Amino acid sequence: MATNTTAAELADFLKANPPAKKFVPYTFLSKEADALTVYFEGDPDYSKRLNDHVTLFLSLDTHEIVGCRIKGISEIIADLPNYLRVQHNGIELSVVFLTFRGGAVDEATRNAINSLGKVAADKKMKLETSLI
Amino acid sequence: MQYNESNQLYLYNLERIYEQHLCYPPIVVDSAVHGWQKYSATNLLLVQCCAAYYLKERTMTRWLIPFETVSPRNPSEKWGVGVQESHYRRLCRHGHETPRARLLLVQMVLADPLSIFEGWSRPDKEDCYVYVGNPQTDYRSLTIQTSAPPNSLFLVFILADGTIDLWNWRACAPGSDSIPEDVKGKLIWQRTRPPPN
Repeated sequence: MATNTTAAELADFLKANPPAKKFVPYTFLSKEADALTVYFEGDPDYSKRLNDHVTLFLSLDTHEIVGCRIKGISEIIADLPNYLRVQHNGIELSVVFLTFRGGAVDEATRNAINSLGKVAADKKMKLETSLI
Repeated sequence: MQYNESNQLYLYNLERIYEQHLCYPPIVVDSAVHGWQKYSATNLLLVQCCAAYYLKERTMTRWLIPFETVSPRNPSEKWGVGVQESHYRRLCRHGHETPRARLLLVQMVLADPLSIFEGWSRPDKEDCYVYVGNPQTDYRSLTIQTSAPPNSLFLVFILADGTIDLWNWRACAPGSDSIPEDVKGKLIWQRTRPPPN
């Protein structure tokens, strides 16, 4: 592509490079953005900032949580080994959410954090140690 | 160098390897370290193809999907930004169709942003940007187009080096149809002309 992709070029590119047919939950750690992105479901979503550290991704249809973005993740990850042993196959993602539970200032925030932890545990999602 | 049919096949295979592993085969690295003398004539052709492809890739844009948008430092100039290949491949690998299709909205917003915010309202991210737009449509997938979510703006988060990091809808701030909710960066630019038809 040239240095500025036009809408037509982009549409052609997207058609020529299709995604896998089935959605698979995933986590993605961006060192540059210092953020962990998590998606439990592939529903069309919108974002809502929960607090300084957490942005929720909510389904446009059901308004249920389908993912989140944890900001300032490097500090959290740096502290984790003080509290748990990081195993070779990664740490439970729900543990990351637990770190925000104590600082939740209102019921809505507590509920959202608890929901994130529950879904992460239900889906057995892990933060791979290779990402850390 | 001349590209014949065999070379094209090598290049095609190299592209597939790169897509799957996000790196080039060891032979490229090996040739850089040890020189080409150790290779047979057949392998030498492959090494040459690898090297040529590698150089081509390195000299081209560092983004898989590049865009030009209003420069936040000088709005009369353009700024080259883009989506990294690893980011796009991740969306494909995990079957995450909506953000993939919404790249069409990213293109729209960057071509004609409504406003630009500097800073992501957290430490060390003061030099990152949020480009805000108000597309009238949403893409749930490439084939499913709907009207935009009500009272919402589309945000494109861009790192200081131009890497597009995230894009999504966000509700408008209360009482505003052009300022997104909970974006606490500094408003550094706003569109003053009416949007094109």
